[in-house]
Amino acid sequence: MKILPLALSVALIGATPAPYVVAADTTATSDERAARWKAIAQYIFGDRKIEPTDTLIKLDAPERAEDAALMPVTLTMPEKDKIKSVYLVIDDNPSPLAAHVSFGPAADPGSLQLRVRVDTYTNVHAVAETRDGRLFGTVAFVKASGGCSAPVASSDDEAMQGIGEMRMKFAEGAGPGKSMQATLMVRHPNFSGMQMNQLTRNYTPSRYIDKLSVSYGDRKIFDLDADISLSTNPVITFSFVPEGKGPLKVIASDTKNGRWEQSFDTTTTN
Amino acid sequence: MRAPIATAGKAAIILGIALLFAVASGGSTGDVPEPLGLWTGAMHGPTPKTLAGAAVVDFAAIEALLPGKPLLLDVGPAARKPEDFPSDRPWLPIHRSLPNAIWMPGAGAAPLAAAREDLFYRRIGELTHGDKAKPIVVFCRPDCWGGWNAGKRLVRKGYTSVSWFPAGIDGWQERRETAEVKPDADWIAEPAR
Amino acid sequence: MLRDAFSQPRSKPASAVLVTRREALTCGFCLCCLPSPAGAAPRGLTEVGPDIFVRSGLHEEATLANAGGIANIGFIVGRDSVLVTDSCGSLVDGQWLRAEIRKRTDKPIRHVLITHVHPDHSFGAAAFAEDQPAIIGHHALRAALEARGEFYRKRLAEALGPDRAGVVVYPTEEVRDGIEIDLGVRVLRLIAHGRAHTDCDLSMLDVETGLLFPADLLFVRRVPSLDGSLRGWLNEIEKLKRLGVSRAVPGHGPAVVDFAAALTDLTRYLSVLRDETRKAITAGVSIADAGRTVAQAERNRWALFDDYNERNVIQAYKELEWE
Repeated sequence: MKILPLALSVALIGATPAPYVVAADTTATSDERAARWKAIAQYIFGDRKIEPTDTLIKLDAPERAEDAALMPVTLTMPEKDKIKSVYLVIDDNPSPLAAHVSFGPAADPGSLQLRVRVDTYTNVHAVAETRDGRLFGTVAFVKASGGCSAPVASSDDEAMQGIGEMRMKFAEGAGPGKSMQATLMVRHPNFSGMQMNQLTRNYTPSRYIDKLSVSYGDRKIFDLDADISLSTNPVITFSFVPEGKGPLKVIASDTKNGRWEQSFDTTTTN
Repeated sequence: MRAPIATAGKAAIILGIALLFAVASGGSTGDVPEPLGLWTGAMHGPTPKTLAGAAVVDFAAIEALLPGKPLLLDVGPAARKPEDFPSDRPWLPIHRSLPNAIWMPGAGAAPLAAAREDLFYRRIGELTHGDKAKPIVVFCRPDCWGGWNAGKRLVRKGYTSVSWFPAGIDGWQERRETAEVKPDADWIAEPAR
Repeated sequence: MLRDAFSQPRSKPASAVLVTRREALTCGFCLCCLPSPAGAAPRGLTEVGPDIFVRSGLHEEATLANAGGIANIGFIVGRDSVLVTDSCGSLVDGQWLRAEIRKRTDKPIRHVLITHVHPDHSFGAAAFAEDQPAIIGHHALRAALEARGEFYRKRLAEALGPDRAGVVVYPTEEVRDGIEIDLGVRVLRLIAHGRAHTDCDLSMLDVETGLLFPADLLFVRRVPSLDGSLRGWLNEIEKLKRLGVSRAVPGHGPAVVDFAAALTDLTRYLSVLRDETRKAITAGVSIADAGRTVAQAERNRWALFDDYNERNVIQAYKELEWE
């Protein structure tokens, strides 16, 4: 897995977001792809400029996803103190804004891992918002298709089993006051509404996690806004600084008024 | 041990089992025979290796056909907006397909309401200028019956140069760029079934 | 099974063209049962045991180039009747098989077994309709039919015509744990398996010869493809081991194999997959990295390893990370 630095020629046109030319993908329709990104960026960021970067945010995704419904993505933000939030955009998904993660005081925004669905071969953009309100972006091209409509399990009932159940795994090597890495796992089908129930040939109605809030004590670690581009049974790896009293708490909510809350004890690591 | 069941019932059991197994297994394997008519089971699943009356083509064959400007017919499904999708998030469905393809989402579904099927044949007639020998390449995605069904419809209607491209958009975009394709205006003007 | 190990078609008539590996991968080609074009010469039936016939493919030795010879259909002739194991492919193929049976015996065909859980292995059963056999399937079949009865009746009506669909019909024989079928001094034991390779795996043992038909629970030479439960699959293998059989007809692979040897290979691969994936999860290795590193020592021991192993790892990871 290679981290793709952004090696692009950028044309800054006034205040509009810069269109990207992806170095590895110079084909006839890269203009089309650039135009698409421009439209999406306009929708999400309005007229705000997105400056290309290969230092502030790095996007690591497999060039080819073995499972289009589960593509692991790693975002690395080396200058973490500057980072306020990150956006993950899968350009050609029908719902391109896969995730928006806003960091709070207990966060270590150095890295974040997510699993997403990819519907067709596409550019993926990661945009970091810094504390001073600027936007910086990077891009990678991934090959996968059908992720949004791939069936979740052999039956809807099976997919719904254990919904809302959570696990938290902690990586080793954290000391008091030092940053700790954790992996949150939430059982949820994240039905996109585009998956056809093979038995009834009706589409399984959408039901997906739209918000995840993680905090340590009374200090926020992050809020995640997501929708159908997030994989079934979301798994999110993040880092935080366990200062003061815990617990580590997660609140998950979905689009059908599901709400689950769970606390984890950080002292019981591994 | 054996229950006396009439022949028609037997065939019914078999098809029932077949459909059920398709569901239970949820996957592609084995070789699938051509159904007698159109496939009315789940759209996603293993497809046959042949389509009687049509050629089955791969990427190389498609490339060879392109200079003759065949009608490229994409029958893949359209994205569906979740009913509770928030208004403040971007919903920007885009369909990427073979460049210059005609996209008629759902034209491979079966059964189709009679009016829809008539519309399908009418549109194809218009797009081929009434030439039944006009080469047509029909496709969607791998493991999708839509392309097969649409191809069969064309063969039944008397089109003599029908090619079915089972690898579809995936087989294409592995080697070539796709292009954004909008749905055929006439096809989607009438409400789908 | 979502994707079969076979990803290259056999040599085809001129109208069909060879598919590349990646295309075939996404298309999920499997050649275990090819329908014969009308009038083609029948392929070989091998007598793998006394009165047990298995239809093998055109090629004896499976190779990457031709992906030939997967045999998993056949029939067994008892003193009183015949049992068909997976009727295969098309009506034409089923008719061919029936004709082959009739060349050898006049005994009534009383049982048609569907061991392979995919619909493409039951279409040929229609060829046996006039024999009015018992149709035997896994117990999971009935429950699903009951849940979806009305839907199936409608679908069947569309497929067969309303006059031939009738009411919802159920399998005449369902296997819950195991049943025995006696063809007349010829006993066959069927075992319904828990979730393993798929949800409805059914294996069959010919008691007289000790020949086992484990269907898709056994892959030989080709890397297994995991689409059910890894732990379940290993459990079901233990069950099969306890049968103490020496020869088996795998779902995919040569016509007949030495069971112990084949199981050793299969168990080793699945165990390595399980153990290394567990290690990766515990060590915090990401799912993407695990896909690239797990089970690499098995690489040269299986055909099409590169096509399927990474995906197997991801399926295993998804299953095991919740342990």
